[in-house]
Amino acid sequence: MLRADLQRASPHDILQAWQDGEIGYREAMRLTACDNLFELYQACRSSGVEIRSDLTAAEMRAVDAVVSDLTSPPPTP
Amino acid sequence: MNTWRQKPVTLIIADSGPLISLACADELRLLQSFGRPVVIADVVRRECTRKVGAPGEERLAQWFETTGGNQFNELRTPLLPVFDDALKQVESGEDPLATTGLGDAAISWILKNLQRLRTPDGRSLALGSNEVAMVLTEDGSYGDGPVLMQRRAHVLSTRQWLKTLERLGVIPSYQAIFDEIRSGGRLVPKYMADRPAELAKGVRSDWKDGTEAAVREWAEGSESEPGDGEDGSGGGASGGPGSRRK
Repeated sequence: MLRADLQRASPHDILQAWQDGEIGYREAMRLTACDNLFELYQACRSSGVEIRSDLTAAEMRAVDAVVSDLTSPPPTP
Repeated sequence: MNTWRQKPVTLIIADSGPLISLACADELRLLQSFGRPVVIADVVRRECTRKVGAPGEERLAQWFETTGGNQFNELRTPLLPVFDDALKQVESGEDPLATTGLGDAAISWILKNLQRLRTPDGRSLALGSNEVAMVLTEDGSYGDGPVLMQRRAHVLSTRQWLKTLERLGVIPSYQAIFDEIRSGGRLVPKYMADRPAELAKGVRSDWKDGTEAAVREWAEGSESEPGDGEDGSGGGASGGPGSRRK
């Protein structure tokens, strides 16, 4: 979703965009005036936005990169 | 991504909480920013003005009698006599909580009877069989409870509504309004909801189109802002709708 579209989006669509992985939680919090993640999840629940438990593709790639880095053998001196 | 088809809501039903909050901030005219009819149940109106000296009471009583008359329609429900009886019990001390939940019950009655709504003077405000109403409330247990059971009801909380008005440029500051409400003696619950009615697969209700149309109209329209009436009220905490016209 484009930034200009987000500014004009309904709270429901912003929460949906967050759950779809299109925007981060900080952006979602700013746009909906939620003060923390708990409130953001509460807002999803009250707004009929399904809360996903799976990682998005981008999150999966980030996790893979971190895991690969952590599990690789330490560089030999 | 939003892929569903949006169906505009037809009618806004205001609960007592948002009315009292708006009255505390002197922002009742923001209700016009929905760009569609606002209705108030007879019980809700009575509820808002029953306690002399309560936050927002005086301003609401005046609004109902003067300017507000052009900005909302009162709806008749069968619960008003029940409310009046309950009020007598409260006043006599017999049951201090006798009126609890009756405003919510009146709104639930309205949602169940959208096709036969009437004003106290008998004028029909009936909705068609496929039209949708939206409840503006700040009562989470009601919005996430009884209203959830109604298929043709969209729910919007005061907080999400005002934040959206800030993003759309209708009001300069969401926070300023909440500060004003607090200084008026009221704390707005943290309820955050914008739950569309799911009418059919891929079809959901939407309220924002009316606000965007109203904003455009104000931007193109006359210099006087909507709601500039004879009550002398200013723009309240926000400067009023249209105060940030481009």
